[in-house]
Amino acid sequence: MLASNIKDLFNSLKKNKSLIITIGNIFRADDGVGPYIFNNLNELPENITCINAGDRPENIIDAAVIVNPDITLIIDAANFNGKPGEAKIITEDLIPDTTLSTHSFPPKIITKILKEDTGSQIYFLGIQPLSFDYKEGLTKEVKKTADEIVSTIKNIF
Amino acid sequence: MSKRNLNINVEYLTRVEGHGNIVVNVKEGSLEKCELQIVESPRFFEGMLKGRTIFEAQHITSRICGICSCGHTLASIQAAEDAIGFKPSEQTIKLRKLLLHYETLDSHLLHIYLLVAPDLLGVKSFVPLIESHNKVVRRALRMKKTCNDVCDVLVGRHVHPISAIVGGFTKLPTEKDLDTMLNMLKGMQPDMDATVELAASLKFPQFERDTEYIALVNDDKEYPFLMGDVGSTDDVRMHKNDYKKITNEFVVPQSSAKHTKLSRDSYAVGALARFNLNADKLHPKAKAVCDAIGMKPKVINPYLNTAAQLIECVHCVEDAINIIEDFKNKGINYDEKVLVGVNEQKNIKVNPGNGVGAVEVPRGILFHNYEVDEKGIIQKANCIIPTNQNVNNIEHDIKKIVPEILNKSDADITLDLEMLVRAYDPCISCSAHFLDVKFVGK
Repeated sequence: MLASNIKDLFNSLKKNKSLIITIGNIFRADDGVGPYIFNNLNELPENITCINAGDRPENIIDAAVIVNPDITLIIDAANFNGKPGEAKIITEDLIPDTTLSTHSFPPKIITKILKEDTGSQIYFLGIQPLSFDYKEGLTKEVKKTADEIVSTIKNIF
Repeated sequence: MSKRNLNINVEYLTRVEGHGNIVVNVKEGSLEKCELQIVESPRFFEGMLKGRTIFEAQHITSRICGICSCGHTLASIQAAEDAIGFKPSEQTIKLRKLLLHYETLDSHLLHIYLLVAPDLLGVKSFVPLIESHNKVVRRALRMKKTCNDVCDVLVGRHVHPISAIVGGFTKLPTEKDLDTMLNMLKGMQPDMDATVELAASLKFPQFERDTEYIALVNDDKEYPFLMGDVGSTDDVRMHKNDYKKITNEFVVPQSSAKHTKLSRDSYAVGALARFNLNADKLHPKAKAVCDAIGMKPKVINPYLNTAAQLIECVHCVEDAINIIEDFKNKGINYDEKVLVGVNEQKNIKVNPGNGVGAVEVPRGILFHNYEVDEKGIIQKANCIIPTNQNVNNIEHDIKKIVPEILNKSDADITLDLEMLVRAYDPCISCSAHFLDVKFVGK
């Protein structure tokens, strides 16, 4: 069951020019939760844009700035020691400076540039993974949450 | 020399590709222990290859490294083609060179901006630079995106290429693709100039240790990345098939990565090795950068590997532009497009044999060696990656530098050692900016 503040956030997306960015690697089990949600979110209202950054957040910054959103929601797997599948809003100041890999830019750089260029409010929806194994597909705990997020967004929008 | 005691244990100097510790003990000014411990467990890629068809080897070995995936692909293809007796066309070779330029550029830029620049600009990681050096961060983003994009256009995606295979390419760039890549690279030139300007203003640590540098060499005018013999600054020159006589791998207790040596106790590979052996073959614009920043072979300061990477970035951009313009002038022969799969249709003749691939990837020379049977099934495989070849040399650098910097604080010594390891751009460098440093037993 998604927390009420997450539903409130989805409602505020509906009322504004909004951007949803999904991040993750589909070949690392639950890290693919962002792209999974992206693939299942279709027919969004005109005021809402969804961009899948995959495992290269730096590639979407120009597209994100062009959207010029009032609110941006970034969806990604996040290890916050919660229960597998738990979803939690993480405020911008708590997004870590680090990146899991030297192969890409830290997400915080992306959020800072987006905020600097557009003034967008930025929220991060983290989903606690169970597995980062080298495999495709989500664990059932994370898939359940991802499906709930998709259906909640569809209902609200 | 200072009579001080020092006990440094940097654990882990590490990230996804590997875990490493720096351990240094000095007692009353005398160096007692000095190790770069590689504690990563083996990954058994050679074992995975055994029994697989040679036509899927490049897709498997590409996964050895996310940032050198194109390099592993190309070394794998070269070894495979060498083993089965296939000669690639001139067009294929040129496209492979282009792909290698893209990866070298991508990897070097990431190292220069994300991993080295924070040290030289006095911050803990790349993120604070968004406040202090906003334009630098935005430039790095733009350049990295361009590298990802040109790779996408050429081989289908920016990591783990899918169209480069044994026999050639499954997709050849269209006229529009060539224009797209050319525009992207030309659009990158002003940012490259600014990167050179930034790098020229940075102060690298002063330290020198003469060592043997090893890289591909050739007799033509080309700065070799993809083909050639293996040469060294100690006047060794051997065919790539003799790679075992070059690397002379040996095991040490403190490292799960084998050490290597040739003419001396250790040798170095990478951008600085290539520069020291082939600087006269760089593109004129890259040579101009050498003059501007005072780089002239033989450079024996390992910290300047980063400067050599910068020079290679300029070379790769300019040479990539040349290659594409040449394709635009001469055209692409689309009849060369190949569909091989795992060679079910026997489009490529397979002879049993033993083949070696020797390719200069961003961190140095990479060897792949496969033995295949008459059906193209891999019987034996061996891969020797650049970071393995550098570990021994880094350890010897640390042994020399520690006594020279003992008058510094613990924090400064630790930083100097971390920067030294990072300068080699090892595959263990990814997390190097959030190290947990412990001083014990002082």
